[in-house]
Amino acid sequence: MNYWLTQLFNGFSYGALIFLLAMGLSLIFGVMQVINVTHGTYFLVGTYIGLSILTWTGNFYLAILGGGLVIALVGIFIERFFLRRLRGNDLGQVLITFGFVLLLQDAILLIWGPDPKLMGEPKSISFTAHIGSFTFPSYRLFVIVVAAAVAAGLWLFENKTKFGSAVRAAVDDVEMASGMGVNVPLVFTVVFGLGSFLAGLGGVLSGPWLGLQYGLDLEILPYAFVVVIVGGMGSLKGAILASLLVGLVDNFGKGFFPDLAYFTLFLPMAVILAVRPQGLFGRTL
Amino acid sequence: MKRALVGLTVLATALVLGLVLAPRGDAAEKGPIRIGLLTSKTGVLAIHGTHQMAAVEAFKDKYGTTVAGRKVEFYPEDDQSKVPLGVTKVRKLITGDKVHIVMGGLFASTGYAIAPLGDQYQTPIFVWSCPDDLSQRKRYKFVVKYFSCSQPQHAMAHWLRKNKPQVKKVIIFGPDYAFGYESSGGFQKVFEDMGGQVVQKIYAPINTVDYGPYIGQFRKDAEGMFVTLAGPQALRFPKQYQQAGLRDKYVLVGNGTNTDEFALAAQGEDVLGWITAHIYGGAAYPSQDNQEFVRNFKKHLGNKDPGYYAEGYYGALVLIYKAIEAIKGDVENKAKFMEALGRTKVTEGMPGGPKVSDGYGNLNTNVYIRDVRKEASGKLYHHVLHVYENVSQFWSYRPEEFLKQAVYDKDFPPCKFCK
Amino acid sequence: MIFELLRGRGRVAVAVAALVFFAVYPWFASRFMITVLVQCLIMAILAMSLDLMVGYTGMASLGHAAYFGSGAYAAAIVSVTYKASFPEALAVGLIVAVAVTAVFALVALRATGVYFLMITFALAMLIWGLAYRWNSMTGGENGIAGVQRPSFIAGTTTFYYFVLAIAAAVFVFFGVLVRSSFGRTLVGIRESESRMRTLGYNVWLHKYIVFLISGLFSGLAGVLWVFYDSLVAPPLVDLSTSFDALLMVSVGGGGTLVGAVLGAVIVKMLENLVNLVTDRWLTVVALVYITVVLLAPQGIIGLLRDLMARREMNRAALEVAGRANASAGKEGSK
Repeated sequence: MNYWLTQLFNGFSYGALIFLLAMGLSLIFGVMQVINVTHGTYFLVGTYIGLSILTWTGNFYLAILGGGLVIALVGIFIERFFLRRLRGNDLGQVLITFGFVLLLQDAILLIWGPDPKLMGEPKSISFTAHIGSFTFPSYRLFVIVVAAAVAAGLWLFENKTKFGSAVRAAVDDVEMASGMGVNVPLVFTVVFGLGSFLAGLGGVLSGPWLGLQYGLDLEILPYAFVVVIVGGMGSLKGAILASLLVGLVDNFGKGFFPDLAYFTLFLPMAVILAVRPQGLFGRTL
Repeated sequence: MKRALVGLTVLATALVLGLVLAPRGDAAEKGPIRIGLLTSKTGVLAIHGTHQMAAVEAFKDKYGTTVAGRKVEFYPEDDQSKVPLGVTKVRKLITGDKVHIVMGGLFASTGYAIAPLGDQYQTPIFVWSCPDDLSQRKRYKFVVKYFSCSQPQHAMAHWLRKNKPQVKKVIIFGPDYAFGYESSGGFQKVFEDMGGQVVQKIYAPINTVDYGPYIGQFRKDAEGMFVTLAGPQALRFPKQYQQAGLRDKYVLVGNGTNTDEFALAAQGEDVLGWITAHIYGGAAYPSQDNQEFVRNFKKHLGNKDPGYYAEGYYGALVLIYKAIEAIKGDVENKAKFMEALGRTKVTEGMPGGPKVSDGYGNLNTNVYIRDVRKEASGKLYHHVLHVYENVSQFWSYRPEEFLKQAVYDKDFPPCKFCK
Repeated sequence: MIFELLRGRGRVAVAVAALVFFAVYPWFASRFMITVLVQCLIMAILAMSLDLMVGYTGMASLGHAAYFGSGAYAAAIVSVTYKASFPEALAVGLIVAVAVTAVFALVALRATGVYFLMITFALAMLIWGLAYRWNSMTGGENGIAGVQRPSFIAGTTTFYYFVLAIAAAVFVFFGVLVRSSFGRTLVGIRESESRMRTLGYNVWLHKYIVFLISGLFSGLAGVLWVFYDSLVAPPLVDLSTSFDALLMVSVGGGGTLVGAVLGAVIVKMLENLVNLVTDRWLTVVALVYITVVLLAPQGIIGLLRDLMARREMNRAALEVAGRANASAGKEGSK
């Protein structure tokens, strides 16, 4: 019984972390039709920046916020001066985002070096918790709480604010939205900034849990892609559901079929692609 | 603007052509002795690469760049922690830079992949990583190596049975490739031959980010764990293990890479008390040779401590120099060079203790059992509990008997006591 | 003057000159550079097969590592584990690559544009996941080492000529293909799918077939690579291989075939030679990506063609102006 609870909890918490990474990617793809390959690297660079902020100020929460903000700025810069020039050139956008992956990777090497690093979380959220006979690390619970808060915030944003409805309109149909007076370039920049912010924030959160390792960006990116594909591009509901699914499938897959660990993750994705390419909640292609 | 681009294009094409035509000369010249070094300066194993390059500098400090009357040049190459690139780089070192010997390779798999190149190009390859079979069942004429993955872990099992006999049932956990299988296999063989039982074997990919699914599977009825952590695993696993509340549940022993100096500072209290076995005693080991090595090393890497990655690289270079001296610098005679490499023996100057060729392309070496302690200043270090001397890759088994069994692999030795 | 060369019969002359250059190359190059050029030629085959889809049909795929890798792994597995001969390994590699393409194409062709990119990428990840984790079959992280070439191509130079011959044959075959009516249909599809459909063409079938051809030749490149390197491992099947192939097509110029070859040579040369000069090869390659995408989206060949067209226009304009001046002059001097 305990085993199942533990794995369930692990899957949920990992899914929560993936949600933060994937939601940004999903938004960017849903609104701007851009496959932002740099997203994983935003996540990783965010972690490094968070570490630096933590080292300078000693404040973990400041690091989380700061990491998110700096990455948001980086993302906005790249969107405004590079991606915008390639509107309509799908392939070009993908290639250039990959170019930035390499650039940012080299930046990590130059600024922080190739050594793996560890990040410490505040003692207040770093203990082994017990509920009855069930034990779990409290930090993972913290991640779940943050992710839930972000999801709630996003829901409010999308459904209760004017700008949010502009975003939803853009996801549905960009040309129509433009025709109806939505400032599409502004929406794009804000969405890209928001997506990057989420990636950076998720990155800092992952620091104490996954460690800082050069190369993590491209390892974790496939998970985000699976979520976006399975959940549907641009859909908040889809991203939440798919992230949890991915977390659980990954956990149990690794437990029961270690040989086929990645395959158990990508196969459902391939099935969805074959049967329902727009994902669970995406708009019809 | 367009004109500039055309100009650039023409220039680029000219450059390409120039580079295409540039490196010439298949004629071998006598001149300096060229030693090719394969390491990982970027990618998941980049940290080891930095340590190894610093070790090379420390080596040059003590032994200089002249041997047997000839100058020595080093050619470091980066395999970006990718096995296929390792092969490409070795090929480039041999055919392009015309090195007389290649040393290096971090992944055990890289070792297996570059070994055939030695025979193909008739150039000695000193494989630094520890693939067991290269000195057992898959021997190549032009390959020697530094040690076998299973070599220290035979000793680990022996020590565990002798010093903590209450630990009868052990769970094995390691990275899902040759290094993991061979280290664990070595432990399992001796452990079970001495009456212990391995009740579970779990392997996780080296890149695993979340160890939750694996930790959740650990059997509750075991008393101990034998853990091997490679590369980034050393930084992720201990923390997640500790967070799951398991530190006090099992007696944990394992591979020296778990707490190697490269990670020790970052790992912190999570690894306090972890017991590991390796061919190096640690930066704190008080032998004179070791302390001299540590001093020289620190000069080149901002006061960081060397671990076995550095010591091994350093030691390999000492052995290479020894071999070159033995043949009076005649490295162009590849066969003679290779033969000397297969016979080397160094008893002083080695931070990791004496190394003696065993006639099978491997080295007999010391194995140090150490645990992690904390100084008054809070710094973590290795304290050596016991030294096994002159340990061979075959442990106490007769080589002919040992070679009859299969190489340690994912399914060998078989898990007789598993669920 | 260069431009005259690139037109009409000049083109054939340039092609022959290039072939001659490649043919005599081993006489004056070092062994190392020969191996680099082998890499370029094998990748040229991959780039050309990708160009067929991307440049000619307008189907940008982010997952060609899947077909390249399927061919490579299949050939390696039967060659090492089952001790197959070279022709057998080649055949198996090609068959597996086509089979994988046949299945993947069915899934991927349900989408277009950006979604197609996404899906092809996801499918390539599937193959990568298999390569990485199916230890018993693919060797997992270690990959499969020890692939042997048959003695007639065991040498560096002999293998070079072997690959050169195949690459040249592929180039000619594709050249004929794109000039055939099938090839022209592909271009039509690139320009406007809906128009082609109204004209009665079975667009889906054309796309499926070109996908298969592309997959087949990508698989061929994979098999050749395995026999060049004697090793296959997961990094060969990951994201960067798919991107590299796209970069080659983009740098050289999509839709020109020769651009794919040029791109392959340039990118592979860069990769092999940049880190002789600097440790910052990541940044150098990144800058190449970014510069090419921003400033030369049609690639080098595209750039040259642009300039040719411009000169044509200028010359034609000058002629017209000259005639106008002459007649005006005649009138004016009355």
